Amino acid sequence: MDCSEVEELSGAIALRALPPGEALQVEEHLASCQQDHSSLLTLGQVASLLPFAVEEIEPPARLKQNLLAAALSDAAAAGGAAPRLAVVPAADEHPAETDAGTAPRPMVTLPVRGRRLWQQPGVWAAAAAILVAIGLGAWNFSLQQRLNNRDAANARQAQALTTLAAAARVVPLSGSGGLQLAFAAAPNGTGSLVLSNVPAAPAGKVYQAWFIRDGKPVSAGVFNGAGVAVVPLQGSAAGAQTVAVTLEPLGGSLLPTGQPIEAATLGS
Amino acid sequence: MQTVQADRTDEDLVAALAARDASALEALYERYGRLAFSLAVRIVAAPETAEEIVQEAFLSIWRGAATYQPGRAAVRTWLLSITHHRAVDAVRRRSARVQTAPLEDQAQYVGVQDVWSDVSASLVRDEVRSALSRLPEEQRQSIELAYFGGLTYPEIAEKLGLPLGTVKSRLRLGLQKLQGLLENPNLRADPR
Repeated sequence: MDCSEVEELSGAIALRALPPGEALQVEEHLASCQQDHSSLLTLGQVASLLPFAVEEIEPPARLKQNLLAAALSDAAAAGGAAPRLAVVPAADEHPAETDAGTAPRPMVTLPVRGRRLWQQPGVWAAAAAILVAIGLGAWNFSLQQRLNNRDAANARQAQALTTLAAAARVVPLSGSGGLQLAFAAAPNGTGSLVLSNVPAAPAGKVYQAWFIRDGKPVSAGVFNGAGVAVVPLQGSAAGAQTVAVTLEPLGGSLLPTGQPIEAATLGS
Repeated sequence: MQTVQADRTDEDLVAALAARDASALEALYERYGRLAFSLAVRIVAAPETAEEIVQEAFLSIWRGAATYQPGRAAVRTWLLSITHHRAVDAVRRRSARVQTAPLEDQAQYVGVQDVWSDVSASLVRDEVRSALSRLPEEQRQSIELAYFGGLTYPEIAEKLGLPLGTVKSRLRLGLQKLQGLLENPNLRADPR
């Protein structure tokens, strides 16, 4: 299965509508693919809103009672301190009547008028969480590392050298991250990051590249580090004054959530 | 007691679950039990089965609460994802069509950035329903067959007598259009 096939299946993936065999193929592809498949995360987020479309039905009172009883039993079976439990009201045969007006209301914050659901930093959900939620299992970066072997490492080194050789210019990045990165720009404005012994991103994090034009960052893609020598960046560096790298939550962010750890001035 | 529970955030409640505070489980159920039950009933169309599914979903959170990462307020998403997974599995087992990978009894929490955790549920509900109603009928139908019907895309294709590629496109384009409708309030405001 290749990237285009995965993208074609992105809707089915997000909705958990894949047959098991294809789900496994997608998982295997994602475990070793360096390309950005963030569309899966976006559509997964959209799909996660679908429960709100259903007509709400009040569950019977026994559901809560059975749940709490099962939880107490579960905790007791696991050993340890007895769980604390608030006083539970007696069973009521008409839960709807009892709950109306007395059930605790959840704390909510009224949104700013006109606010869009997606206009928040870090809108991309964690890749692994979405994939687990949609039944594909964890997208495990350590699995990616285990799939790497010496031959693959040599191939990546060769790829890095080829990219550097073909670049119209190479700009090293610098910063507090301690990473050895360079931006290799092709004549047509596209480019790649060339990595040298860049460690894997911390657990729960991913590196994200940005082109910054007139102070506005635009994502150029995410990457993990270890085992990767060249990261082709999305979009074009044309008109960008800066290329930067930040650490973001798994799956990347719509906008940087922190200061760049590495950056380079590209000039006008 | 119940008023105090209402003041705790979802994060607080999950942290309390990890400490084996069953009152936190009760509070979490009060917040999301109705929505989870409604989702399960919508999918399995059997209230008693839905009860079992919801109970197992909450127990999964109870058991997996220790894996929760503070700052990632996505408990609602986590819970509903488990509920949906179990409900779809129940539908597929019932029809003995497709064997799916079972969820572990203890749901491993993996951080999900919940973009709408601080948006009122009623607002989300209104926006989602409005956006769904504005989808082209064929896209909405395919999405509902997949998400609420538990059908795989080949099954949808067979049911509707369509090529596989058509169904894949409808699912992908339908979700993309939903995304656009949810992102752009002007689109939502436009009359049909």
